[in-house]
Amino acid sequence: MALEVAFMHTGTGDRHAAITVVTDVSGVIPTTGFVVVHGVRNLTDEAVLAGFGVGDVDAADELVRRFGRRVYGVAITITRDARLAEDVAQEAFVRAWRHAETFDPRRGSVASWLSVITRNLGIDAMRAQPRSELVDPDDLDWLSPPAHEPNPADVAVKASDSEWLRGALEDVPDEQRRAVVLAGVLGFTAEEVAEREGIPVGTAKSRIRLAMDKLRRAHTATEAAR
Amino acid sequence: MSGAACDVVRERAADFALGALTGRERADLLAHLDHCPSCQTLVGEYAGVADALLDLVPEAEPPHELAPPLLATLRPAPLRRWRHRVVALAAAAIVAISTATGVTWALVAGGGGGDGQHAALHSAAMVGSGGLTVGRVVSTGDDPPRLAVNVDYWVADGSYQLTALDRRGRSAPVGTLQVSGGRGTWTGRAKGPDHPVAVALVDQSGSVVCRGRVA
Repeated sequence: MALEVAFMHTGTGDRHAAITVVTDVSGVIPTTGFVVVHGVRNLTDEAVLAGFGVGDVDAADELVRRFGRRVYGVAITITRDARLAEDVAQEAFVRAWRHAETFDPRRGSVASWLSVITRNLGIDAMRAQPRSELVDPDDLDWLSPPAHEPNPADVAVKASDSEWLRGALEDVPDEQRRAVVLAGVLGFTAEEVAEREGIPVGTAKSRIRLAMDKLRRAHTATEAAR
Repeated sequence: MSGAACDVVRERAADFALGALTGRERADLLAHLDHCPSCQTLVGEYAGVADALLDLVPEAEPPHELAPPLLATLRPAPLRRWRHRVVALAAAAIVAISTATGVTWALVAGGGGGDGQHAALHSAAMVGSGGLTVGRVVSTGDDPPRLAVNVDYWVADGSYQLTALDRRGRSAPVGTLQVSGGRGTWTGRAKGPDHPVAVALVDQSGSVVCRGRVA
């Protein structure tokens, strides 16, 4: 057995971490080895993911603590089945563990990365099921724009995170909003959106693309304003 | 880059971001993106929207804790874990002495090849068709580098030739990697081209299945 040991020190101040990795390159132990990460509660999401990716149990615990509800939320929204959603959420974290080193913070947050993994796994899990019959319109209540007028403080917040999206969706016609969320969140194909909405497939495609284009323009404008 | 190709990308970018393209359409689009920065920007903007849509989904409390089964997956067997901890702590103590601030990776050669030489450690994804990550390659910074290549996803069972490529694209076989049950590992020296920059898995028909950077 041939062991290789790597030591990484990263970050500054309170957000530092020391990580030690042992890899058995001879293949007797078929996994990347043991890791010590200090102070996971103080680490950034990216650092926690890095520790998780090399097998640190404290980092794994912390990652689930931070994102378990979010991952499960995406899973249950897509599957509508508690047991299946739990399996999807578990698999999402395992997939994140295997592919943690491919995470690129320039492309988005850890939260978004985990959500996309969960979405794709949820869609795969549901692929064999007639989803148009499973999704009740009332299940999409969370799509609805807020009933109250936004106050000035909310407007300020809109410039950050994804609040811009909720605001932008208010300017998208209802039928386009439903179409883009059915496709973008629940993984519906244009054919499934058409069936669900009782419209031709071409119309479904147009609604999805029109909505995506409006949201893209809003996103671009938001980014430019920052 | 042709204008027609850019038009096609503009038409399909939203579907691409939503994962609604066929495999062939996706491959064509990715090939175009390789050399078209303006389309890369456009597709990146759509992808940002697709990612953000998931931010709208309300969080939910799972019925059972997610962490314990996950930790059981990660946690090595007790004896191995104990051995790892001792080696890790000892090595950390040794290497920490020579570690400055910032990000530092150092490798301590061990086992049969243990010559005590420190070298940079490089780790990269093994990437298959459509940008899919199918495994990982870890390499040492010495020449020829020592490699640990692992695939654990998507690659079909079978025997694959592992080749090393230099900066000029010249390749040379360095070993055979056997995939069984969806997993395969190869370790050894990349003897072949001078200063290899990448490794690739080649199937029986001569097609590259996946590749990863080693420098």
